[in-house]
Amino acid sequence: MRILLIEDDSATADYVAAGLSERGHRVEQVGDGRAALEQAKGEAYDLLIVDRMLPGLDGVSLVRRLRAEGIATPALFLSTLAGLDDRVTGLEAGGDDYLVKPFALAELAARVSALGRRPALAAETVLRIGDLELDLVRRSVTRGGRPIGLQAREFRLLEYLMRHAGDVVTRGMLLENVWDFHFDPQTTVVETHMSRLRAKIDRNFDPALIQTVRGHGYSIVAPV
Amino acid sequence: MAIPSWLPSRSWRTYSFRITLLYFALLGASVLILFGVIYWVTADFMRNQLRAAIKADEFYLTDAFAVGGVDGLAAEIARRGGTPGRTPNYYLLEDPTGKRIAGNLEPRAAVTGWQEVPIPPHLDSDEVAAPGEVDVLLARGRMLSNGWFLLVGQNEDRFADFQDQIVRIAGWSLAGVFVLAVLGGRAISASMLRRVAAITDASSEIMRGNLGRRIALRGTGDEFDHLSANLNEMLDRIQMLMDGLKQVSNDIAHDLRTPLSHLRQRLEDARDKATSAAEYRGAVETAIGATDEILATFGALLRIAQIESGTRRAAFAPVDLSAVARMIAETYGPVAEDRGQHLTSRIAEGVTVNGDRQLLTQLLANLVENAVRHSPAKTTISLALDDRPDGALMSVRDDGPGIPADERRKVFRRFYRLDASRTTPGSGLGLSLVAAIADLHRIAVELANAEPGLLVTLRFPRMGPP
Repeated sequence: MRILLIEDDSATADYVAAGLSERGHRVEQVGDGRAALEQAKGEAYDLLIVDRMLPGLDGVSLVRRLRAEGIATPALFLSTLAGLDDRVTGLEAGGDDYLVKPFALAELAARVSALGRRPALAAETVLRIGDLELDLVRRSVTRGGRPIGLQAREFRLLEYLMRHAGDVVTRGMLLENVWDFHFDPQTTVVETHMSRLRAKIDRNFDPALIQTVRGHGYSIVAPV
Repeated sequence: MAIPSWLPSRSWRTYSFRITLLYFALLGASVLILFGVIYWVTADFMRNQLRAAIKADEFYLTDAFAVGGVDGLAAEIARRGGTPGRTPNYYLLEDPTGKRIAGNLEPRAAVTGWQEVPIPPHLDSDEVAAPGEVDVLLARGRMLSNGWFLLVGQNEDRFADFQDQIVRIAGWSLAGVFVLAVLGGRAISASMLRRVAAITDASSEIMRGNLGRRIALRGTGDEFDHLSANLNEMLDRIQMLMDGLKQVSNDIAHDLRTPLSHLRQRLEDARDKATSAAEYRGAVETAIGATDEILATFGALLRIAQIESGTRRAAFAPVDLSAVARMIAETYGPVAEDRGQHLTSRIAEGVTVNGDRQLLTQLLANLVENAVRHSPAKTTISLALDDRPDGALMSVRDDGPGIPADERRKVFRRFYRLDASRTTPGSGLGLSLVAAIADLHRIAVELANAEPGLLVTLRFPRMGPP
């Protein structure tokens, strides 16, 4: 992916750029809000990573201006503010995701891949991975043709995994998107539900579809 | 408007004094109107009196004429004081040729009806009449049956005197009102200034650093007492917040030192003892974990501070509390089960409150997690939501170890941890966050003994216009 990284703190910028380059992305850096606005308007990027606090033009205004000019390049905000409202204002301005500093590079990488993937077509009503099928209309799941009964939360968990098939989804992404939890629970919420989901999806079938990516998150992968 | 130099400049500038001046203007105007009306009414009354007296006079004289003829009338006129001298009564009787037969007025043309007649100078009772100025009297002329002319009049002096008197009294009253208004205004503004000065003194003393200073109350329960009491309450609250802040900084300093020094020890250990890449890797992993915990604590503190600032309230919207409670039950049911516990729920449908959905979710999640984390296996945790007419009622109950009565208030403090839970991982901020969120939503939180276990009750304010 071709990524424009808009970040004025050079230590963070270099760290992020190096990490994303290692994962096969092409990262260009710019440290000033106004320069970034011109660059994002002039070039075609797959993703913008935008720090909230920038010299020249702050991140939220930058994205708002781009959206006003019809530029829909996905944007991920970075912020040191653990603020409650910052997330909302960021997303309202047209941001697509939000990550609070400090963050693990793996978390950022996972979110970057998730944003780089074009969203599934709206018309798509059945998601498929191997012999696993999830019907969004009938709210039903089958594997190898056998129906599998899932709890509401398990269904959403599986749906999210399948929409990001092949990518790593982190615990944070699952909490935000499946539970709408914007805090860090002190219990094994994700692990518990994930293990139940796996018991239903994978235990009596071969091969296992849901993989644990150690220290990073989970991934659902189609069998080769 | 120029300020008279005899007015104290400070009083002049006060609002109360300006109000006093306004009162004076209003009072003065009402005095003038009152005396105007009195003047007009009495003038009318006195004129009627005068006319009635003249008519009565005339009636008696006509009577005397009917009985005794011209001679009888002339005699009656003479008897009634129709002789030259000081008298308020004036008469004139003329024969048809216009010759004066009796009376004290100069002969004049016979005109009937009401008229004003100049008083002959030698008969004028008003000694101070200006030279050349002729006083008049009110008179009524009448032709008698034999063609003689009778004029009966009375002096208007008494009447004029009375009118002068009224004008004089009005003037004095106005002066009196002015003096009273000025004195009263000064007295009122001086007393108000004293009260304001007391507040000003207290606040400047507080600004100088005596933070414990409060404004003295008079105990009269008046507006100033009310204001002072409010200010005192505000000061108390600020001081409480400052004390809280001081406490928090101390707590942070203390509670973050411990994990930071542990982190340092581990890194030092790794530097001195680790020999293989795997050992280094292990040490780094542990260090990252420890750092994350410290960051989480910081994050929670920031979040509490932000919630306590109250700015979130602006974004309040109706929240389907039933849906939030259902989601929490659905989410934590399996978590509890994995720990050998049991989570039950009884949730009323369609309960809506005004608030922040994210924060209410976190509030409930924290309470349920608290019950899950601090209770042993086989504990039953029950979540209930009721719709009461006086507001939604939510409760989280467990039959675990509970919290001793004397510690129930303290658990809301930042970093406070029960001895029994020191070994459980956690920052000691969960219930502080609960308290902050509840405060923001004006939810009353109660901790009670569930015999055994803990019962947490949340009383939501009645849903109304925000």
